[in-house]
Amino acid sequence: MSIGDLAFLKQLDRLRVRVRTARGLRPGETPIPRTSQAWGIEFESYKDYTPGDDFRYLDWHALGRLDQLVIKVFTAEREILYHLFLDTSASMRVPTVDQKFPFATKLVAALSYIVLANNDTLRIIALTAPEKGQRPFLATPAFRHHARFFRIPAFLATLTPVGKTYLRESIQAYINQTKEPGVAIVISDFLVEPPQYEEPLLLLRARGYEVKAVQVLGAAELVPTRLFRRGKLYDVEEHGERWITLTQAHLQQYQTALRDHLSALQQFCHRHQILYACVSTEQPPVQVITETLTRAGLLMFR
Amino acid sequence: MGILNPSALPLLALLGILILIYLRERWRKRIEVSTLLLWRAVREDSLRVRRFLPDLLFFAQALLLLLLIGGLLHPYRPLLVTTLQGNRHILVFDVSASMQAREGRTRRFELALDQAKHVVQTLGPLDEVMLISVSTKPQLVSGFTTDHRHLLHLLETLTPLDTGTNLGLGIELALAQRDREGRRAQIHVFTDLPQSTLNLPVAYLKDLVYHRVGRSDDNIAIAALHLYQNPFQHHSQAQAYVLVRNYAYRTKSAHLSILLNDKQIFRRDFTLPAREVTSFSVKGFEGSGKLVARLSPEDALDVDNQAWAWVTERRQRRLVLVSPVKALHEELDRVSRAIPGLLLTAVAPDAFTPAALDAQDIVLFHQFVPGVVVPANSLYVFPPPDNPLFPVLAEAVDLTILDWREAHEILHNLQYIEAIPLKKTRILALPSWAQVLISSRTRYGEVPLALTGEKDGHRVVCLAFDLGKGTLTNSDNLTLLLLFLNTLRWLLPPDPAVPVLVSAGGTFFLPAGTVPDSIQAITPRGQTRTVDAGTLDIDQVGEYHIQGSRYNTVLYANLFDEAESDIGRREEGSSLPVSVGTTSPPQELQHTVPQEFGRLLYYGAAMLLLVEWLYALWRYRRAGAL
Repeated sequence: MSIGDLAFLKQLDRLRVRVRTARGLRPGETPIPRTSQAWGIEFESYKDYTPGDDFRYLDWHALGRLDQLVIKVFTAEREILYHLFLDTSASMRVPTVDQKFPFATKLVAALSYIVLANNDTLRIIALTAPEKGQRPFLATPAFRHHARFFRIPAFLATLTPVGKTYLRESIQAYINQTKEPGVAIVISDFLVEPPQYEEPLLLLRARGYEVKAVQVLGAAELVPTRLFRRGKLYDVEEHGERWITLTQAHLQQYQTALRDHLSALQQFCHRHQILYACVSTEQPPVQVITETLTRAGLLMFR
Repeated sequence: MGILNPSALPLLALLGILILIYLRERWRKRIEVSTLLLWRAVREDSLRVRRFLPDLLFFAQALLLLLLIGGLLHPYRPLLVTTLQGNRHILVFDVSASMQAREGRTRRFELALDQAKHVVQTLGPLDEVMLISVSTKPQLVSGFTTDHRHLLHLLETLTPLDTGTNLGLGIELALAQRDREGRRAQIHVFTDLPQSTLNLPVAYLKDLVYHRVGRSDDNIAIAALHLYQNPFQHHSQAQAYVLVRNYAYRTKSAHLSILLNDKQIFRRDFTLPAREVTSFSVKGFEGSGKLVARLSPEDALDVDNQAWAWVTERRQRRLVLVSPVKALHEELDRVSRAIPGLLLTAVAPDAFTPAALDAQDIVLFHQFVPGVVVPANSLYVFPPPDNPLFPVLAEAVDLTILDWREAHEILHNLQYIEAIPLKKTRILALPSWAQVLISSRTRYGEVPLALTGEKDGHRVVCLAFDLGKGTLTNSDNLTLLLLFLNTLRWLLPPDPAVPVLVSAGGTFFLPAGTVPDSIQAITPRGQTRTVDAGTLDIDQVGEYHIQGSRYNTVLYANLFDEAESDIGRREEGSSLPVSVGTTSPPQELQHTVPQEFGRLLYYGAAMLLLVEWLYALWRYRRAGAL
């Protein structure tokens, strides 16, 4: 399956990104639920009044009949700006048998296609290592039409996963120069110490982005016996070495550590209303897009 | 099960190398991971990781290696096979001179040949035959073969020779071949000799199929022709003795002619009773040249009716004395005047030059050894200490002679050797090229008193004791004088113009230093032969002409062999029962042959390699699909 695969693209045509809180400045085609009158025209539902809500949207009839303060909520259709952050650190390159980075780029391309097919705007930001005199990211211009989609694979092909993971530095540098927030989809393996991913994700939230985290893990990372039984492990980012024999007990210890790490990330995202999805390279990309990400709430059928 | 090529066993060490490669790869290879964050919970275990723990790939590679080494070892398993096998026969064919004896209109050789052909023709097609011809030595004409036509052809090519026979040795050779490869062969002997002459154990003779041919005893032969003439004698002083023997069991009359240079000088008619011998003496030859003795009329065997000799022309020989002692010169002068044809020349050691010598000279070095190669036969007497030829260990006086080589030509007819006076003697170390002629024993062990040898192509004699004043001419020292004269005679170089007398059945050796490549021999029957490796087998009686670019000579070959001339010899004692040759059908023989299966191991290795390659291809494509 490739991005040029028409059958695959046809399946993507049925999908759109589920947006919850993001707002767009321009009218568009993405329905944004639970918005006030200023943003939407199509009545959607009621919500309980909370202090600060605009009185203009109080349903006075309901107040009269039920003696209850409720606010009318509308669905708006806006054009959303999507920021697809792709981690290009060296950890995305290994284990080589899993082809994590090609998998992640396919994911980015598929999401880009979905976004552009829904007439939304898109920028792809490759998070790179900060170098002197250069920005710690590579970003495409904003693409607004699905005809621009075919520029995206060319951009992705130029990316090489090298260096350490600099999520915080790269994301901060990017949002400092971007005035318009939107939906931020961060695609990474998140195999770093929790503070290193928590800070940039919170930063995005604080700047008003609707944040979605997609964790890409290799099949050999989930089941390391596929990679080795015993040997000298080498950390491609930190350059550390460790001699490991993968006994049953050691395997359990590893999987417990992995589970704890994923659980911590998941709980952090849940706590801060960040959508979290974990995908494995073991699954075919088409299944990840149509099933895993849909089930996780990142995508939805139109 | 076994292996045919154990030399490939050391290749098993490659397994050790494979293990070392694996260990090295294990220590060197790094497994790249995204982070060690998750592995911190796992205890590091460097010792266990570095230990050799084979994986599937290692087993596959080790198996591949073992299969290849196994193939090189040429393993086999014994396979029981049944084959049809014919009987084996060995034909021992006597081709000696007596087989030329006439039997009526034919010869004994043809009679034996007919019998041999008959034996071959009655054999089964699977029967194997070996052919050995025997003259003075046995010769394997053909190994075991089932090609009977070829063997018949080989029988046709056999010819009787003018030599004696060593049939016993031929039968020994056949017996050695008989039980080879666990198959017993039947031996057929075709000869005219009675079994009792073979000198073989009765157990051996019982198994032989003995085809004896010939009944005639009609032979009168020249049993010997001796010409007595020493090198210093004139031809008129030479004397020829001819020994004639009647081998028939009846009285025979004949006449003997002796020709000198083809001119008859003697003729005598005589009658000899059965099995008797007589001799004739001829002397007073008028000149030198070829002497031929001939018997007539012809009898059943011609080859022993003629003999050759040569009456030599006396030549002046020079004895060159190189000695610092004048007394020896005077003594040798007296000796040389008594020997006609010997000319004595004295040279002081300082004035000696090898260039002044002739190859026909004899040089006597007394208390002196030159430091150069001497181009003539030489006699060294009492060599000085520190000479380059004979290492002197010490000096001794009044030694006793303990041993000597009686068979040597120098000591022929010499009695009372112990009587040689030994006043002063040098204890010599024996050079590698020399042999001891007379020896004594001192604290140095056995020491040579006289030694002989050949060095640089010339004969050398060395006497370790001194010839004192008056020693040679003293009547008490007759033994020493005879030893001295015998030594001179041995040292006399042969006259190249004089033919060499050889015995039929012997071997003539070209003189040392002769290049044999261009030398050819013309036999008495006019055949031309190449003198291979410097030797010529003498198998005909008469004159051989050896011709080369730088070497020419004539050989006179005589057959004086009583065993060959006595063609009517009768069996002594009771003859053994003669085995009758039998022809039996081919046998079914079961034997094991090694069935090699190394090739299967090669095929297995190829298959394994193919499977590994396909698996790698599958993995590569699978990785590419991701």
